[in-house]
Amino acid sequence: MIQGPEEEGGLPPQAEKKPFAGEAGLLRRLLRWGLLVLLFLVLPLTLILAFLWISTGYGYRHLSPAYVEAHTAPFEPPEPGVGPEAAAALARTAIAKIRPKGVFIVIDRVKNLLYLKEGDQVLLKAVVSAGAGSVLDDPKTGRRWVFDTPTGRFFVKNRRENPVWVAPDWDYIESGEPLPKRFSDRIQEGMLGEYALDLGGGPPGYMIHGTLYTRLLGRNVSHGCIRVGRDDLRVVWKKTTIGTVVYMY
Amino acid sequence: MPKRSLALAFVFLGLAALAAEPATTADEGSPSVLVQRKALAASKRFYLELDLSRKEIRLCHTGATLAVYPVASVEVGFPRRFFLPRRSDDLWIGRTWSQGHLDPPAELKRIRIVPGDEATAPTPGKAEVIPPTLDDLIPVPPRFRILFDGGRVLLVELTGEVPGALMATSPWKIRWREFQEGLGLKPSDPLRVRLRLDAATGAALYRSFPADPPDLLVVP
Repeated sequence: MIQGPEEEGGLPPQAEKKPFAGEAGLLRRLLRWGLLVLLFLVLPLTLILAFLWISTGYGYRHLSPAYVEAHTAPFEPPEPGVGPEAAAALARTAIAKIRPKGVFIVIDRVKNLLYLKEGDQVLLKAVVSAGAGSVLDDPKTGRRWVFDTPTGRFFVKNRRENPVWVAPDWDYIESGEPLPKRFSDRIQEGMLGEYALDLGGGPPGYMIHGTLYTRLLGRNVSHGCIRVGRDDLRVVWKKTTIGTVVYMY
Repeated sequence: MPKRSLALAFVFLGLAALAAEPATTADEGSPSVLVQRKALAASKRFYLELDLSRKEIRLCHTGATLAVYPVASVEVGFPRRFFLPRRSDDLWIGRTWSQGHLDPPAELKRIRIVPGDEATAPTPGKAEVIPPTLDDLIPVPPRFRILFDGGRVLLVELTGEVPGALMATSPWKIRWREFQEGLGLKPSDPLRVRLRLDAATGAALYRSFPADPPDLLVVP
């Protein structure tokens, strides 16, 4: 039996013509499927998700006069039978009684600012130093001090000219010095400036006072008291009395 | 007669004293606002007023205005799904919102004083040591919420550069949360009011926010 040329080569005639026809077909099929998946699955899914992302969440709109009117609560009488005008007059009188009379002090402990105010009028704006907010631990006794300026409403309880400062324990512990044995060793003159206004607020109490560290005004460097520059302190001293309201926030 | 004239004189003096009292924002407003303001002033706690017509937030205590924070814009927000809003019919204007909490809460990064160490002392003696201020020690997020009882929320967004320390927050995380709320996967705010504030003003509001949760009166 004579073998033909086809049998001699050992490969089918088609394979000879296109050696990678199988792989190419597979690639073509994959591409076709890929395109179909992209067109009919990935793209619509992406569009749906994008639409969802854009259309879902929170919407905002400015308040129109009509909206404000529609969402304003109606007047509710504080007591039965009291009309709006009478209720307003009573409320005005009550607020006038509650709010501070005359001059009062407002202290912004974050911005280190003191305002002397009368009603809504600002009589003085002074740069001061409020509490540092730092923490001191006594390694020997375990006592802890937090040097915050308190917040809330206070009153001037006492006014002192040329006040002396009785240095508390923390002053010595902070500077790494031993505690003095005699009380008189704790007394320091000139540290509090010309004037001090005592505000109370627990022992040893907080004060508005002068300072030697005028370069640090505007920074939070005190142990809770409010340090004021000399000229501003003179104005505060003149305008306030015992009982003046002091707000600290 | 003299008694009568004396009484008249007292009445006159009383009226004169009332007239001499400087007018404040506490005197303004509708009867409803005044009644609620009286209740807040009597509480002897800090409270806030959001004035929609003046576009400002006021920090107040016992009828006195302590600080004013101007607001650039006020908008009402509503959750929406497929552009369909779910609007609230809450009568929130002219009402007092109670117990406002900051979210995230303000946190003071306290410095621990090392005895004898000049660098950690609140009042350094050396001129070259510049102590930080509370602006440096209380980081502020560029966007924060004030959550009130009943699901009422003030969303505060700061525009511009925040002075002092900034708290890192991811805008994508916030958007993702809003997306989930819109879809109903997470509970959404029943009422949200968005305020845009200048960064310095907003940061001041955040840093000075009262620790005792304040109430808020919305003044139309």
